Amino acid sequence: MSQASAVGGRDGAVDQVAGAVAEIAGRTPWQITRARLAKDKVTMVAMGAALFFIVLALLAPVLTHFGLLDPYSNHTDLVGGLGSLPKGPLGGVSPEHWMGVEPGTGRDIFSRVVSGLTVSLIVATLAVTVSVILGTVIGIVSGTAGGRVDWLFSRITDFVLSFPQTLMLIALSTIVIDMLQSALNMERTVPSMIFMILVMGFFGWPIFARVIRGQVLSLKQREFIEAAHSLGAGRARIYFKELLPHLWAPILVYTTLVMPQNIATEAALGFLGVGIQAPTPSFGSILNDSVHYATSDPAYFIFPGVTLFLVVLSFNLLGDGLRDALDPKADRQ
Amino acid sequence: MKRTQIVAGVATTLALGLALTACGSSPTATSTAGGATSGAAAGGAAGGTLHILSGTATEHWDPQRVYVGVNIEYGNRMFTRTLTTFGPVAKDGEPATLIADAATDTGTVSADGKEWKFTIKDGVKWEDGQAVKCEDFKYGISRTFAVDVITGGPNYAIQYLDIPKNDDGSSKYAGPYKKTGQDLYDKAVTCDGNTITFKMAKPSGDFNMAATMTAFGAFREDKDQGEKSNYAIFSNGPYKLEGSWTANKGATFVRNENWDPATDGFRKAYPDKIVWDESLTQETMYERIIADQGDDKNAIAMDQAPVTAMANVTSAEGRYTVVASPYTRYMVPNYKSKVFSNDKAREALALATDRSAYVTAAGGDQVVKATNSLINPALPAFPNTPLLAGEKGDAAKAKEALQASGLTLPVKINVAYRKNDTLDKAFAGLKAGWDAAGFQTNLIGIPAEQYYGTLQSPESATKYDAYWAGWGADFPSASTVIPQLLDSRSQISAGGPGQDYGYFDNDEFNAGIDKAMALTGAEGDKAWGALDTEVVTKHFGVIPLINDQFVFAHGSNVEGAVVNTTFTGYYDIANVSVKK
Repeated sequence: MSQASAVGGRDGAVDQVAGAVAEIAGRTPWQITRARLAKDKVTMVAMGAALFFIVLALLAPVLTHFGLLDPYSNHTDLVGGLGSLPKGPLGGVSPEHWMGVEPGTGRDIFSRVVSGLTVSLIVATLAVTVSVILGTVIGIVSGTAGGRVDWLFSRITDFVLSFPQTLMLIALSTIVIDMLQSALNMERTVPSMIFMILVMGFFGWPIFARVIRGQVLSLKQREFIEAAHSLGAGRARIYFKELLPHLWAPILVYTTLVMPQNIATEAALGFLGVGIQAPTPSFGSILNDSVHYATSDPAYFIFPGVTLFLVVLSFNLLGDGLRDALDPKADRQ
Repeated sequence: MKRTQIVAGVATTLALGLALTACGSSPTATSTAGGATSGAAAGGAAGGTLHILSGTATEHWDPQRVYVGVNIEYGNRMFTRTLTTFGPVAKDGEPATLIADAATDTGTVSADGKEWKFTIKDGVKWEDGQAVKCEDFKYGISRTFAVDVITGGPNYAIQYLDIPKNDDGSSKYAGPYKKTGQDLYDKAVTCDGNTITFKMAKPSGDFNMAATMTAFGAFREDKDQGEKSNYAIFSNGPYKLEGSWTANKGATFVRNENWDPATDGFRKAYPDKIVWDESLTQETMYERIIADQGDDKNAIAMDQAPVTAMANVTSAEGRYTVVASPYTRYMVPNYKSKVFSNDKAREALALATDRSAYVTAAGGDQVVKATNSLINPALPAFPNTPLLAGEKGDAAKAKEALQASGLTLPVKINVAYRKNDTLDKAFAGLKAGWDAAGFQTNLIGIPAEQYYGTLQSPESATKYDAYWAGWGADFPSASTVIPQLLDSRSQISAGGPGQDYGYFDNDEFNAGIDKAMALTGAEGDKAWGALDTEVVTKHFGVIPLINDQFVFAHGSNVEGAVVNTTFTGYYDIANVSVKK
């Protein structure tokens, strides 16, 4: 946090200068944010990349439906020799197969990576959503109620934070996914996704709860809350109409920061074999398979590996940039 | 019982895979065969250190507990002499002959086939200089009966020997520790000087083939520590343990000065020292052998190359070999499932099976062949049943069959397979074929260490609709394939399906098994082949998928490394030498 606020301070100084030159006419927080972001080239590029990945992930099922992406068809003619390695340079890169083909099957790696991205972003986004909802509700309640309620929720937050998340995911996966699968009576992919979303979401909320609680603690001393109280506003109104609009900045910042963590966790679980199961592609399972071919077909590791790196990097940079632009302190200036 | 093992298809059990047309012929036949490969015929250089690299932890070295084919072979070549053995071969994949080892010949059988006699050679000694006596063999074989202590080994001694059994199939003799029924054993196995006599429960012409397993090897009573003897190697072969064996790591073997080459017709035992390192993964082990640096020049691979290393192996020119594995991999439709109790649904599954994906995923058509026979091509009974609808299957025909089954399309099926990267890819292709025919396949990868246990548990009957499985023969006879996999009478019980994973249960078929059992030679082979074709093309009770081949490699200084497919399908180190 200290580093971030230092950067925020610098930006703030720049803004003050800019503000002095420009007309004194009030600017909305949105305008301030946009102006700051526009000046931050790295963040703009990261945002562009993140949007590109999101659009690609959203389009993947459509493209697959129309046959433009094909993550499942074998192309046995494109692999050969002992061990069925891709024919041609760079793991069989060609105009049809931009990232080459998978050893052993000839499936298109680009299609598999993009489909893996869809799965990955769905899991990461929904897990963040679960975290945000839980974290915001608990944070607001804890911050406004104070006293015993606050103490209890804070201890629960500490308790959950001290849980080893990855270990829980691995340990529980088989049993819970089996149960979900027999309950839902469907392929393993959906139960695996639900499981990961719930567990990652559940272990992600304390971060949000802490930040929101801190914000609420300072906000509730402000005059407009007291005014609402004295006008007889109910709890729900104070929570959702008065407090929540002031919390969107930290929620947005932490969402973009938790996203890449979730993407990486999903890939790690797939790598360890407890995430999305074959034949549904995922970053983790692709990388797990590709490391065996590290010497015989390095391109198979490099293309998906670099893609995952870029996805995580773009979301991380975007998160950092947003935090700078939306630094909660700026609100109070 | 033989099935493919946990680690990427390493043989768990004895692999006597190949056509053994010459069993029982002259013990010297192999030594006169001209050797095309290096050291074997030319005679290698004595001395040096041979390194054996392995990616599989050895579970047992106790001769009576070894059932993994590769360990039977290495154990026999290094430190456990058996009465008979399969001799070394001059070329990869050549059929080996049955020869005498610690015995003077390959045994004599009485006219009624119920009594086998072997005479132990003079001058065969333990590493402490004491002679190996008839009583040591008798004691060693008796240990198999102590089923509570000596676990993991083959139970052929219990099956063959004329010792009465309890109602539950266990022997009335409880082994040398409890000594219950010792008099029964003493009657079945007798020593007269150096001659050991075995009395058989039923006439058996192939007992001397079973005797190649180290389970029929000698064990000295004063060295027996029961369970603790698992890695306490006490040698009567050319090498002995230096220090002790460390599980998952290995050990160093040095020359046993009390081994007399004059008593040994076939072990050349050229290297002075053998270093066994099983602390590696299969990938690193092949990377090291291919890189061929330092001590790795003197190394041979114990395990076959994993699919991922195959492409690199080709760069080790002249140092790698490709040989047939003794296994058949197949699908088993579950007769207890709602879908596959339906004859037409099984037919549809068989017709829609696309084997080409499996062939590619397992390493390509150079090493994998699609098959429609349960019996391995290496066995004389191999019927070579033609594929029903080519390698790729016929989705349209399969769909017709499925529509005729009366089930509502798409038909949901749960298919279980042993989870690993190769089968993940193979089953993605198989699923595509089945789904195109109107199935809706849900794949369930089960971790390797639980796989067969899951198949054999009674609960699986209602959980899965079809399974993957693999099997190889214990003896070069289809009598260790068809009855072991499809005889409902001996396999299915309240405790599960045994190896009849799909609950195939057909009285007529069982009668056919009884008939085939009574036949011998070519007639027997024909009967087994016909049963194989019947279950595959008429009942669709199993769907054979592929036969694969193993790839092995060795360092550039190693000479005479030849794969003995008759014995176990791994490198045979009897003639291996290390260039200086």
